[in-house]
Amino acid sequence: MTNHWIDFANSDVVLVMGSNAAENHPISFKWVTKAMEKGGMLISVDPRFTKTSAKADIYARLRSGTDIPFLGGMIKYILDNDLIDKFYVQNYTNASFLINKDFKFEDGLFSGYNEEKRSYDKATWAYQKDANGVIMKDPSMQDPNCVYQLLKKHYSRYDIDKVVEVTGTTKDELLKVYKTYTSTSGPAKSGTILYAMGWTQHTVGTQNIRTMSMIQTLLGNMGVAGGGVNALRGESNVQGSTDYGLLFHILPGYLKFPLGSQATLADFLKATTPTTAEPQSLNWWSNTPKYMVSLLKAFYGEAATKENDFGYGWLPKGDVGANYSWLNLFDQMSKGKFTGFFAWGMNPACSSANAGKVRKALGELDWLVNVNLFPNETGQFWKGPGMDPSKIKTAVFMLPCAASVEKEGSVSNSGRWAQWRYKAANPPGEAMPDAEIIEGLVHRVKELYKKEGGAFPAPILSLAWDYEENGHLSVRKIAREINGYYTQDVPGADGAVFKKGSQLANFVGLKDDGTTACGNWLYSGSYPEAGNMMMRRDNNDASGIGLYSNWSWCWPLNRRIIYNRASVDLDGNPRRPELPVIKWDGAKWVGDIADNAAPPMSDKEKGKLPFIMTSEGVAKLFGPGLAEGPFPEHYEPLECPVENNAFSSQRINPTVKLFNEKGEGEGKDVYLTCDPRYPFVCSTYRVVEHWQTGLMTRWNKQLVELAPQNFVEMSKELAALKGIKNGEMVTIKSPRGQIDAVAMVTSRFKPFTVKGQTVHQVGTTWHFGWCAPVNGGDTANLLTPTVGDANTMIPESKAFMVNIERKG
Amino acid sequence: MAYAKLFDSSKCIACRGCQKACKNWNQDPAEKTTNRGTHQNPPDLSHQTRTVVRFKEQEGGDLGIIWTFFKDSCRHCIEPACKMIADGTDEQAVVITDTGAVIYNERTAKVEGMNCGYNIPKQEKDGAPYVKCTLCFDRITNGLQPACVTTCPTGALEFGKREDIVKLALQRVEEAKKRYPDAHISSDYKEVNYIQVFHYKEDMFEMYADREKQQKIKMASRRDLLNPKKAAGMISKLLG
Repeated sequence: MTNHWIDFANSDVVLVMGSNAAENHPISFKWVTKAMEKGGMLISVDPRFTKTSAKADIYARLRSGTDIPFLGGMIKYILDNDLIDKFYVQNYTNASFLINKDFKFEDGLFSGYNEEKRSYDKATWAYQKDANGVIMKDPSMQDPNCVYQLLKKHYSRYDIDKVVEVTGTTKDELLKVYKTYTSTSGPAKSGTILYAMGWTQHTVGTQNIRTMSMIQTLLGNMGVAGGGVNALRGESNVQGSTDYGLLFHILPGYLKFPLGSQATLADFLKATTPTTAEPQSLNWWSNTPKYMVSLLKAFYGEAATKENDFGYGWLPKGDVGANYSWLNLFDQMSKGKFTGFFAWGMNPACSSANAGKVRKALGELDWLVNVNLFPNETGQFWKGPGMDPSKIKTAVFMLPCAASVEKEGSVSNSGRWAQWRYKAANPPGEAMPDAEIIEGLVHRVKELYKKEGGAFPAPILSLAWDYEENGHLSVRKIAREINGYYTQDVPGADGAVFKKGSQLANFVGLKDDGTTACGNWLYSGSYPEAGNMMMRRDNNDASGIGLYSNWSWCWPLNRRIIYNRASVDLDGNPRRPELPVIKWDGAKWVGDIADNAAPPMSDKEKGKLPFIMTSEGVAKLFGPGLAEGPFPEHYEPLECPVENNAFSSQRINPTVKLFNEKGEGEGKDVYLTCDPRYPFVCSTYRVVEHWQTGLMTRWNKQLVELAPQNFVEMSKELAALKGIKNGEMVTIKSPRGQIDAVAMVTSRFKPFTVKGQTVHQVGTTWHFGWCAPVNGGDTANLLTPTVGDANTMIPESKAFMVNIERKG
Repeated sequence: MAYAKLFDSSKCIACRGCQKACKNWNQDPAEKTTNRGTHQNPPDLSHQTRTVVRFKEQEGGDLGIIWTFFKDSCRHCIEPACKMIADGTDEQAVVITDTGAVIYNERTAKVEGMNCGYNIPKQEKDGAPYVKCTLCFDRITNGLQPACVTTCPTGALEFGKREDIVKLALQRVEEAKKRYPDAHISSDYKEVNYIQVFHYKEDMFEMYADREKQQKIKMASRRDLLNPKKAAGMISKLLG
């Protein structure tokens, strides 16, 4: 999130789209309810009328997978009716920037497309620059090649009738949403977006979010109280996992993962450190070398020296163009490319798209280590439905681990607040905290390398691993390393000396010369000399806008609302004085921790632009970073109920990776669109009573009592068509698999009219699995396709095609 | 001190945290349930389930659908019919405490002709103890809020001094009216310590309580307040 949970209460309009917040994030409604008590409006946009919709002032349904037309229509509405926040757009975005004259968009494709590679050469998706490398601009925003004009041209195609035809939303509902949400334009009001997997789990997931980011930027809603783009994360610490480099393409603190083409540290830093010629751009990522070198010092300690590139050569490197995401990983596993696999706190046999393929792939392994609280469908795949244990070679080890309350550590919530948690009870039996399991592995692997040598022992033997305190692994010691410390005495200002081993105050002190070590620059400041800031529990709010700055700690630098410099005018005065985030008092910023201490922009020499993480210093309405193009464009889901995309002749996202194979059946990678055998759109989702694949809830009898069995929700019209009665068992089939579920016939689903055709949509959950409870059913992921977003590879679980029949 | 609890349907998101918290605190075992084509589960109150969130889905209203949730549990009546009836058998079988909580005990099981217009008390079988909400008597007399209220994320459940809760309820009605013109306080609010605010036309009292039966019990018991034994006999006769 750019903002945080409590900040929702500051919103004048809360849009919940791509999320059922009331169901899956009940605590969010503590704050949404407060916003509504103050007169704020709640809009719910969802294919199905949900618990969120039940509380909303406005509800609009849309066919799953048509968010970009819905939002693209809103962009057109904003531009046609001149509803942009002019000051904001002119000063804080790239609307006036001129784009390369060869940049083109024709029939669903941007310039530079390579059909064979299913990817773009982005050379023309670039700014026009002068001789000094400064971007050329037209402040009047009239130049036909300026971003504003290109934006206008692109979204002129998203006229309301076409949007209605594609989304299945009624014109009346659509206009109500547009009118209400755009009322937040300008400084007087703020609107927020709460989204979740309903936006990410599409082949155009990243672009869904980008479209909304553009709307927030056009309306001046970024960086302000009650605004922002807010992802409601699906797990209590998934924000933390991402910050610490859980994903394959990043290192801790969102530093880029090194590639094989970057042989030396200098190569890596050259490729990953952006530069800018924009006079007022801070370009924060220019600090990359300091963060990278300090990270290497944390990894390798004394062994990391300037002479050996601080151990950069020991880091694993990715192949250029390779993608090591989840879907590819299991695709490779299914082809026998892995010998071993740690399933750590994960249950891919239920959570992965096309779970049937994953279950089979696990049988290709020599060994599988399942680290979890409970036995699950992954660890027990070999005795699952359709498996013959006598034919499976995989050796499976179960390592029971401690639950969150049985260990100490930090959890970072969706609002980026890192909060320290204490151990409440000992883990049962042989269960151990994850960190201790990892430590045990590291010591044993190091021992083996010491004894046996091996092909490349240096990275393992050089790894600094000194987390013991009083004979035990100390997570506090790890937290101190994450914050960063001086590796030698370093002279400070006024003759003071930062002693070797003392904690850094924050990342401003990090160096690229090896004198500092830091496990994650983003969290530098969380554990300075003064102590562990994540332990703070002061519930006084000096800000008056709910920042609670002394409760826990928030990255970066305890900044509660990021891009907050966009909430002030050029002189640093809050544009909305009654909800001030920061204010320049003439010498310094007061309020929240400002996005950099530099003076406001009217100081032409020292003043800085608000969007410090982009090299331009401004928000990007034209965003060349994504795979599909600089402006979001509608493409149909890979499996969809329409033959043609109404917006172009590109039916699907031209840049997604396809895993097709021949034939249908359990676990196969088959995609069928407009196939009469699979006529209904299906989405997967969650309920409040269960969590993810249900591992922590399916064993809890009181929760199973509340939600005992998987179900499939469908309209009364579809039930009548298929002769299905409420409460009876039905079979849902996709080209990849089938599950049984209880039919829940409801008015909350209604058929859509799409291009004059009736389209039915159904929905089911992915909480259940064959292990428990009895008769609970199995995961909806046996139905979902192996296909992912072109940027993130998040699978398209929110729109695919199925059939549904009474169980006979 | 007399306390009361408030349920405000306009703020309920049916997370059912209250239902789970109730089971946790009372250590009530889970029931074996199945999905019957609705999110509501267990189907009704039982000797193992003291509170249940009822779901109701109707077509109509500004959004096309009115989907409402109601946390059903003991109303802790100020003049409880169950008490009137029980007194006919044993005056210690149903106890009204000064907190406003109506409390059952092992002697309640022996009450003849036990009845409730809201259909709240449940027993496993004839002769078994009656089970229902205690208003978390053990918590509220130790400075805590009822378990259900503690867990409610949105303010749909509130607990406090009865006079404050009545005030809050009437204030909530006015607030809710800005959005929902039909908002109203439950028609029985003067008679109970579990007060409700509904943001839509129907009154859950009408929907989920047997109004007629409730009236009969009330009338009979009031008339015969001074002679509980007679009241019990009369009520049983009235109700067949």
